[in-house]
Amino acid sequence: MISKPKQVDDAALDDLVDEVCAQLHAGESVDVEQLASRFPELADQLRNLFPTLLAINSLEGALSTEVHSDNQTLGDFRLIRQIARGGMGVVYEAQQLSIPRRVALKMLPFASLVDRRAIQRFKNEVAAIATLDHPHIVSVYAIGEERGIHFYAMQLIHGQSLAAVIKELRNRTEQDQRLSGEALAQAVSDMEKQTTDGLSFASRLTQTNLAEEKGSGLFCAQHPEGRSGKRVLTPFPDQGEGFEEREGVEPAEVDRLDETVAETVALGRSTTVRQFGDSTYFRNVALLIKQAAEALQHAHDHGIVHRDVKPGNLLLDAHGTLYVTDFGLARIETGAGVTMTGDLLGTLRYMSPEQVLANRVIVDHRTDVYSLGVTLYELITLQPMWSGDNKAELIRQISFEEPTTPGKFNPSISLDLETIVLKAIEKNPNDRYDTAQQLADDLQCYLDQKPILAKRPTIIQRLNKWTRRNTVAAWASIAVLGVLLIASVVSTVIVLGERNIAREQRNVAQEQKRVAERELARATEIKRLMTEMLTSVTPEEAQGADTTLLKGLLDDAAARLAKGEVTDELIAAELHNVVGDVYRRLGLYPQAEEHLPLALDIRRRLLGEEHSDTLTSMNSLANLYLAQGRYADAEPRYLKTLEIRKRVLGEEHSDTLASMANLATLYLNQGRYAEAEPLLLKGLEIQKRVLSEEHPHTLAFMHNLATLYEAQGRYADAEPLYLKRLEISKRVLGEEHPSTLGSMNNLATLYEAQGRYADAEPLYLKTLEIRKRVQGEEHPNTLSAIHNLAMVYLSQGRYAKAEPLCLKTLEIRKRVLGEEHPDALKSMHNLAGLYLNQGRYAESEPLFLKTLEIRTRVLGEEHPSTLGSMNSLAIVYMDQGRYAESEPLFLKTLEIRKRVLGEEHPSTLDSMNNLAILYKQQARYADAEPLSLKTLEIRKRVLGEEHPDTLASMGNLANLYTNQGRHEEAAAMLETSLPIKRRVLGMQHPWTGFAMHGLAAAYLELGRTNDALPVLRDLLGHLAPQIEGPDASAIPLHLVAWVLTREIEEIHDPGRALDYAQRACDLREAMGGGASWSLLDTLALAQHKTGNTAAAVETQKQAVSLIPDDDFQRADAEQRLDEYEAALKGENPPRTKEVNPD
Amino acid sequence: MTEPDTDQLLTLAHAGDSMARQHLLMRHQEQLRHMITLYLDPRLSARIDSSDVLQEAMACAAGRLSDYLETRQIAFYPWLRAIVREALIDTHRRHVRAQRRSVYKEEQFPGPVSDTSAMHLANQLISSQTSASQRLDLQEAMHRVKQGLETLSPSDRDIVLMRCVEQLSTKEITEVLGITETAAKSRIRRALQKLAHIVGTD
Repeated sequence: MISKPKQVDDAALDDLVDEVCAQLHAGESVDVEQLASRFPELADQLRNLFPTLLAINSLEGALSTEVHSDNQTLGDFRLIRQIARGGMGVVYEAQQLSIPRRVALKMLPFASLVDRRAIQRFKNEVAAIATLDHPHIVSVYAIGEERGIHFYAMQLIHGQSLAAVIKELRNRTEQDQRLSGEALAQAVSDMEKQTTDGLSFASRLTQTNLAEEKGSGLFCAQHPEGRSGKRVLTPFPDQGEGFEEREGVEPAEVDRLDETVAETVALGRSTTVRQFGDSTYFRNVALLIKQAAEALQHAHDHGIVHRDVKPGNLLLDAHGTLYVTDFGLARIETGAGVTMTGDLLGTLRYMSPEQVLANRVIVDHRTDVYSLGVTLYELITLQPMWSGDNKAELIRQISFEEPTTPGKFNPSISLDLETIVLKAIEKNPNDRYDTAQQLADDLQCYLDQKPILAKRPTIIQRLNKWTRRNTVAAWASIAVLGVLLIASVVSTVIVLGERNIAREQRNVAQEQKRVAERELARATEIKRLMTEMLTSVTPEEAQGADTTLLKGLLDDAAARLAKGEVTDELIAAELHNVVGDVYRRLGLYPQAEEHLPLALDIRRRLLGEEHSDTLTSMNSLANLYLAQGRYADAEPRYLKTLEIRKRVLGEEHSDTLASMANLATLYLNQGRYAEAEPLLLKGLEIQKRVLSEEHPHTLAFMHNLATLYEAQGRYADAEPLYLKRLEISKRVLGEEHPSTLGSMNNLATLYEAQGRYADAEPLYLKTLEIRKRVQGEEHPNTLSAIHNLAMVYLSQGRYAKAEPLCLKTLEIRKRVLGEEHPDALKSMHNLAGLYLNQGRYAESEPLFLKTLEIRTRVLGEEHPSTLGSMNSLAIVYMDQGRYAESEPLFLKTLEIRKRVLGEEHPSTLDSMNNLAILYKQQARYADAEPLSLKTLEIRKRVLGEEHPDTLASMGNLANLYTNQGRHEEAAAMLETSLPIKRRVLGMQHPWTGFAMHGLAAAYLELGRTNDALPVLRDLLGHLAPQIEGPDASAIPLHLVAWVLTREIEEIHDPGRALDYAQRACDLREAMGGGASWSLLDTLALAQHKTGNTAAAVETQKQAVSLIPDDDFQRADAEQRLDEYEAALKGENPPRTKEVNPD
Repeated sequence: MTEPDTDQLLTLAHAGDSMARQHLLMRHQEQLRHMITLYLDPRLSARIDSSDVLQEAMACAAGRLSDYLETRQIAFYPWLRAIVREALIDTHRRHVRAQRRSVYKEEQFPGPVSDTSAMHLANQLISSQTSASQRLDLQEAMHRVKQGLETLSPSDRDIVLMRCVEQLSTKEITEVLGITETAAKSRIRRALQKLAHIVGTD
C-alpha cells in the first residue's frame, strides 16, 4: 500500500527515482539498501517502489517471432525450421509437398507488403528473379501467398555464407595458420562438422538431396566424387595446368615500389602486416569472385540490379561453388528509399558511395561491381574495408576515405589483384569497371597470368584524391620523391638494358626486360602523376607550405643534375623541367629560372620546336613568367605553344585546351578580360562536348569563366556558372567533398561582392560547419572558411561579430604556421583592416607596419601582397589626416604597380584611385581630378560601366565635384551612375544609398528642391525596411536621419531623425566602431532642431575634434558649431549647411 | 568524430543536406524500436517485426521531413515519435483488414503491452541476475508489472514507458509532453507509485 508521503519529501523522491532510472539505463547496478541508508527519510517509499522500478526498467523490446514448428504448412510447403533472420524477413527450411524436395522458404515482412502496389511490385520482382538461370545464382522456384503471408521458395544451398567463412578464416589467421588454396573449402567443411546443435545454417541443410542441386560449376569436373557423397570435402584446385604462378616474376620490391609513394600519403595509418595466404588462396578467392561477377552480369543483362551484394548474400557450398542470393530485393524492402531494417550496419559496410549518399540518384549495376569489390577486398585482407562502427562514421568513410591498400595488410597479395580490387571500389562509378563482366574478365586475366585490363590508374587517382584534401606541403614532398625516383628508375633501366646486352642470356634478359619495362612504365606514370598534381595547385598555396625539407630535396636533385649524373640529355631535360616546375610551385622563382630555360633549350635542340616535350617546357617557362608577373615574357610563349598545339594536335586535344586555359589566365591577371572571355568560352564549349559537362576539366573552365565574369562585375553571368558547378559537384562528389565546398565558397564570394550578404552568409556558415566537422578546427581550409565569414561580417559593418573570428584565425595560424607564414600575415592584415574600418587606428597601424615589414623582407618589395600592406598602411595614415606620411606610400605602390602590372591593371587603378582620394582630402583638387578622371576612363573601358570599381570611380568623382561646389557636374555624374548602381548592386548596397544621398544633396544645393524630393522619398522608402528591427545597421540609420533633418516640409522630421541618429551612434558603439564625425554632425543637427541646442553644441564639439586639422570639411563643421553656440545665446535662428554622411 | 547535435542537423537538413536527413532519421532508431516492440500487439507480433514498423515509420517520416523542417512546430524527437505511433496504429488496423478474418476487436490505441516483452525479460533475467530466488521474484514482478501497466491510465502508462522503457531522459520527456522538468519527474514518480501499488496489491 502507498502511504501518502509528506509534501516536502516529494521533490527529493522525484529526483531519486529519476537518478535510479538513469543508473539502470546506464547498466549500473543499484543497491537499494545503500540508497535507503543515504536517504533514511525516503527509505520506506524507496523499498516499496524499487521492485517495480527494477522490473519496469528491465522490460525491453526484442521480439522473438518464432513460428511454432509443429507441422506448420504454408501452401505447398511444410516448414521445418528457421534458418536465418534478416532485414528481408525470415528464412525457413521447408519441404515442398507436391515435388518432394527441400527448399529455402523466405517469408516477407508483413508491414512492407500491406500496400497493394507493394505486393504487386514484390511479385513482379520475384518473377523477374525467377527467370534468372545461372549456375551461380540461387534459383527461385515458386512464389506464393497464404494467410496474408507472402513468401517465395528457392534453392537450398548446402554451405556457408562468405560472411561466416571470412569470420572463420580470420580466426584461423589469428592463430597464425597460413591459408592455402584449400583454406576456403576447409573452413566450410570444418564449420559444418563443428556445428552439431542444429543452429548452423549448413548442418541443418545436410539432409537435403544433393542430386537435385544444380551443377556445382568448375570444381565438379575435376572432382566428380564431390557430387555424390555427403560432406565430401573438395579442395580447391591447386596449381594445375595453366595456373602455375612463377615465383620471382613479380619481384616484391617492385610491387611495393609505388606503395612507398603511396605510403607517404597514407595519413599515418598503421596496419598490421600479416602474411597469411599463399598464392593459391588468392587465386581461389579470385575464382569465387569471378563466379559472382558472372552471376551479377547475368542478372544485369536481365535488367536486375542486386543492390545488396555482401558476403552474407554469397553462399559457398563445400564444393567451392558460389551462389548469389537475395537478388534485387533490397529495393522492395526499401520502398521509400530509406533502408532502416535489420542489420543496416552490416549492409552499409558494403554499400557504394552513391548508395549511401544518394537521395534520388539512380543507382545502377555498377553499385554491384563496387560491393563485390569490397567483398573481394575483405576476402584477400580478411579485414573489413571500413573500420567505422557507427553509421555516421561508416558513411563518412565510404564517401570520403580511401581504404588502406590491400597490400599493406598482406604483402603477398599480387599487384594485379590489388589493382583489380581498387578499380572495382572506385568512388566514382565512372572509374570502376563498366560491367561486372569486365571485372570477371580481369580476374580471369589475373588467373591466366595475362596482363590485366585495369592499368593501375589508381595510384594517380588515389594521390590526386588525397592531395585534394591535404596540404600542399605533403603533395609537394611526393613530387620531389618522384623526381628522385625517376632519376633512380631511369638509371636502373639503363643499367639493366646494358647488362642484358652484355650477358646475352636469353632468360635472364627477358626477365630483366620485363622488370625494365615495368620500371619505365612506372617512371612515366610517376611523371604523369606529378604533372597532374602540380597543375592542381596555385603558387600562392605552395608558398604556404613548409618548404625547408622540400627545398633540401630539390636542391639535392638539382645538384645531382648539375654534376652531370644524368648523362642522357633528354632525361636531364625532363628532370630540369620537373625540378623547375616544383621550384615555381613553391614560389622559388630564381631557382626555377635556373632549370626551366635549360630544359627548353635542350629539347628545342634535340627534339625540334614543335615536339610535344618542347612545348611542355615552353609552357612551363611561361607559367613561371606568369607567376613572376612578367606578363610580357609569358604572353608570346603561351601564344606560340597554343598556335603549334592547335595546328599539330588539333583544337580539341587536352594539351591545346590547357594552353588555352593558361593564356586565358594570363589575360585574366592582366585584366584583359575581353581577350580572356572568348578563349574560355571556346574551351568550355569543347570540354563540354568532348569530355562531358561533369568532367573536372570542364568544371575548371567553368570556374575560370565565372571568375572572369566576377572580376568584370558581370555577376549575373557568373552566378549561373557557379551554381551549376556547385550543383554538379554536389551530385557527383557529394556535399562534403572539398571541391563542393570550394564551389560553395566561390558562390558565397560572388554574393558578397554583390553586397548580397544575406545570401553569402549562410553559404559561408555551411562551408564552415562542414569543414570544421570533416577537417577539424585548425585545418587550413577551415581557417579560410572562418576568415571568409569574418570578411562578410566586416563588409556588413558587423565588426563585433567579425573581430573574434579574425582574432581566432590569427591566433591559430600564428601558433600552427608561425608568424611569418603568408596565411598568418593575411589574417594579421585583415584584422588590421577590421580595426581600420572601425577607426581604431592605434591598433591597426602597428599590425600593418608589421605585415609590411615581414612581407618586404620575405616576399620582396614588389610582391603584390607587400604592395597590399603598403597601400593599407597609407590608408591608415590618410584617415588619420597624416597625409605627409601617406602620400609617399601611395606614390610608391602606384609606381611599382604601373611598372609591374601596367597602367591598366585593376590594382594599379586602385592605387591611382586612392591617391586621388588623398589629394581630395587635402583639398588638392587640381591634383586629384586628373587622376580620378583617368581611373574612371580606364575602368569604364576595361571593366565596363557596370563593374563595381567603375561605379566606385563615378562615386568618387561626384564627391570630388561636390567638394569643390561643382554641384551641376556632381548631379550629372550621379544621374548617370545611380540607375546602374540600382540595377547592378541593388538597393541594399550602401553605395546605392550613398549615390541617392549625393544626388539629393546636389539638387538641394542647386535649389532644385522639386528634383530632390522624389530622390529623398525614394531613399526613405528603400531604407525603411532596413532600419527596422534589431539587424539594422548604422549606415541606413544615418542616411535616414540625414534625410529627416533636411529643411523640406514634407520630409522634415527632426524628432525621428534624432531617434535614428542616436540609434546609429549606439550601434556603432555596440559594434566597437569608433565615433564617426559625420554621424555626430547629423546627430547634433537633429538635437539642435529638436530644441536641445545645448546637447547639439557638445555633440558638434566632439565631431569637430574628430576631423583632421587640414581637412577642408572641418571649417564647415566649425561653422555649424558656431551657429549652435550662437543660437544657445539666442543670437541667431538655426541655419546650417549639411555634410555627407560617411 | 563527434555527432553533430540535432539542431545542427535540422538546419543542414533544411538547407537540403541529404546526409543530415539520413542522420536525423537514424539517430533515434533504437529508442523507437523499444517503444514499438513494447506497444506491438502480441497477437500480431508473430508476423510483424518491430523493424518493419520502424521502417515504415521512417519511410513516412522521410516523406514528411521537408514539411516538418519548414515549420518545426514541435521538437524533433516528439515529432518522430508521433509518426511512429501513427505507423503502429496503421499497422494494427491494416493487419486486421488484410487478414480478412478479424477475430480481434479493433482496440483503442495504445493497446496492451506486448506479452513477448515479458517473455524476453524473463530470458534476460536469467543472464543478468544471480540468485535463483531473486530471479523468480523479478520474473514475478515483471509479470505483474506488465499486467499492472495495462490497468494504469493511458497518460500514466505513457510517461512511465517513456522514462523506463524508451529510456528517454526526463528532459526529453518535457519536450514530448510540454511540461516542466519538475512536473515530469513528479508525474513519473506518482505513476510509478501507482504501478507499485497495483503490483503490490494484485
